Amino acid sequence: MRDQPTRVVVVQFPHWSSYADAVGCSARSAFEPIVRAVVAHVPLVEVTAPGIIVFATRGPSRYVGGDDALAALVHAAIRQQLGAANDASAAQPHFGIGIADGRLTAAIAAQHSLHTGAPHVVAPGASHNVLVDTPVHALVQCVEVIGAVGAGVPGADDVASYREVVSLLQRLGLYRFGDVATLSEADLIARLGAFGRDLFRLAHGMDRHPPLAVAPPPDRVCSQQFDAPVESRDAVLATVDQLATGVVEHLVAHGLAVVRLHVLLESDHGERSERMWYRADGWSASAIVESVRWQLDAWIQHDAPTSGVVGVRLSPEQMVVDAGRQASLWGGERDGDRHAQRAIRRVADMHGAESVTIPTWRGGRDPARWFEFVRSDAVDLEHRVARDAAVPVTWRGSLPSPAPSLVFDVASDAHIDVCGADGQRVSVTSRHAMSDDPAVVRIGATTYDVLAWAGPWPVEERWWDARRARRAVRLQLLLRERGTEQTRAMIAVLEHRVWRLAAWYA
Amino acid sequence: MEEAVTQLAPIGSSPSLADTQNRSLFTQGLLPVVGRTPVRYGVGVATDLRSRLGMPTVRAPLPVAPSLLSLFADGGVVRGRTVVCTGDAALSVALAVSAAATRAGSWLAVVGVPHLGVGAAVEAGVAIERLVLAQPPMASREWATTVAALVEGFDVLIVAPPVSLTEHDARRLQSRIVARQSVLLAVNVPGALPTSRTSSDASRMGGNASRVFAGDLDVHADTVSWSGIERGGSHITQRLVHVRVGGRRCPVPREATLDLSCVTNQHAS
Repeated sequence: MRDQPTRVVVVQFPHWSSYADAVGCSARSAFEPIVRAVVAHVPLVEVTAPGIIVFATRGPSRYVGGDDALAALVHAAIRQQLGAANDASAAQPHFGIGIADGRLTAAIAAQHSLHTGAPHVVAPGASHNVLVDTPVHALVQCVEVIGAVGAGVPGADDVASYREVVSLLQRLGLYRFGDVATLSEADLIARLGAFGRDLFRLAHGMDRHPPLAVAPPPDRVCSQQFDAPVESRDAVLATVDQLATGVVEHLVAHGLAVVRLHVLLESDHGERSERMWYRADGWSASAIVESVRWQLDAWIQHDAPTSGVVGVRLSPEQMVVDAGRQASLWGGERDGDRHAQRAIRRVADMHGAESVTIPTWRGGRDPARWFEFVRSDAVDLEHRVARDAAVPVTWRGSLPSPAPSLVFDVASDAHIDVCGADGQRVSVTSRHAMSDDPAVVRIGATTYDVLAWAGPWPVEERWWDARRARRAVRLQLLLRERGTEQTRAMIAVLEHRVWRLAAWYA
Repeated sequence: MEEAVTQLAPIGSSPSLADTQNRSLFTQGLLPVVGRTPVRYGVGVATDLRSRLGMPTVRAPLPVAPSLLSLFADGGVVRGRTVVCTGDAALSVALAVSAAATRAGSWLAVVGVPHLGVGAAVEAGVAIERLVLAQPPMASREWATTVAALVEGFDVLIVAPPVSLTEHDARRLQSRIVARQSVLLAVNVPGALPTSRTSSDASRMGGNASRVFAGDLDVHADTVSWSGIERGGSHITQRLVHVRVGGRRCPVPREATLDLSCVTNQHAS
């Protein structure tokens, strides 16, 4: 017998993080007002990631009089919220609302709604008809709603792994979900492994995770009551950390992972904040803490509870058999990783998330731009460790190895003088010929003699775009500080007729 | 003393925990030395002695790359130690020393080096998925508190201390390092930026690691030759660095000339 998928509403903002960047606040805090606008009409929503809200239609739909009415209501609420937030100063973000049986179909409906600008409702039982004609490529766009391919498989980057699956399916001649649905479950599992089973379910309009058939372990709800109201956010989060670790370990011992988690916070005066959290590849302890931090911050900021927290409750609402994660045994999260993440969170709490940054490979010619420093709260550290480092690729025209250990961006504005033997500043013609051999470099009050140099190496970037084009010349210099025997190597860049210190080999 | 230590665990073999514990006790002078041969006690005795002295239990030293092994008597960097790195290649050598540990699962925090060339860290063999950069406030007390918070979660820290850091706060931080059994690499980052706007940067990156931190080990690294670069041709292809390890935990200084790019290649293979 096939299990009936839950009928859900998916609200999706496709480029939320770039919108949040444009507005100038973090993706989460920018998204919070929208979540609240929806929560005003629908009590329990799942927030999967900033930009995506999912909730079941069953209760709310009956209350407001049908799916169409519900979709219109939510649409109007979000519009109003967006209108109130920014008075036409920034571009309004696009969003789509889809209602259908099953998360995948609802996400596809939301994609459709993005183009039409109106909510898209798929009639009950009609999901299958929609999927038959939908290209399998839709998986890539819906990754955030349905979850990553290989839950916890090392090297399984969310979107990239879907691209691989999609490309494989296309090479097999399966272009639409209808084609996939003609295959047997056994064949799909044989070809794609554990994800084959999920794909079979998705193609038939079912949810990825069937309702749990295994009896859940007994004491799965865990809560902590404080004797006295706790005012400190850190203390609450520390407790949540303990609870979450307990819950996750308890479930792992039973071979389960929680995918849907209900979190309830209660203040001494009876105020409550509750929210449902969904994560298709299972919640880890640190991810739970991150989510509760979001919930707690939003609660403090918007509702301003009048007293400290007296109770915290985590109740796993839906669990799946933990197929591929094996968190505590195999790679994945270890004690050291957990301690480091805790320390990072603590420092981020003390001095703001910008004070701790994570280097992320971006690529480029300029050594200062090879890596981007991302705020610690914007990176899923656990995921990052689990899937190993993205090994940097050598960029054509970038600096040859060895790489300098101190690099300065264009913005650092560190002007220097590179002069010839006659004391005149060295210039470079449009054909990349230097006016004179460099002989002396002055950096601040220090004068260096040039022992050797390499270059000039031209840097021509985006020459096709008049506004963003960049023309510069790089010079590698070996220097000796005047009056000492100290030799140092550096990179100097000439751009807009000004020499700039770009890197030290420290 | 030196020979006896190598005898206990030949360099290159992976030392058992018992050997490690014994060895670090010998090198710290906590166990009696008769003649030139340390008296061998069982692990039980060593552990008992440590606990009676109220010292933290000893964990295996942090591993270092094979080419650096000759510089560290204990088969790695003993946990709980402060290593002060000076010289013009201080930062590169600090990265090279911490690289093997990050590959073995330790996390590395680089504190107060906002312009770190992560490319150099990658070349040194640092596993960047466990690399984090922190910019604590410059005031001495706050800086030390923040770094102490980081020590809780990180096995290795490369820090460029601000000028404001007092010796008192530095000492407190060092005792934190001993308690948590991490390794602190205090680096003199040779300055810096010239213009007035960035003068704060220059002072921030000033070389005062050696001033405030009393190092268990002092690592001095100077570049002896740059090869490949000519007057107008080619580019730097090789950098030979002379490294000298001394300090109170290494009374007989050890020296070696390293090719930093070779350290990298060992990791790549």
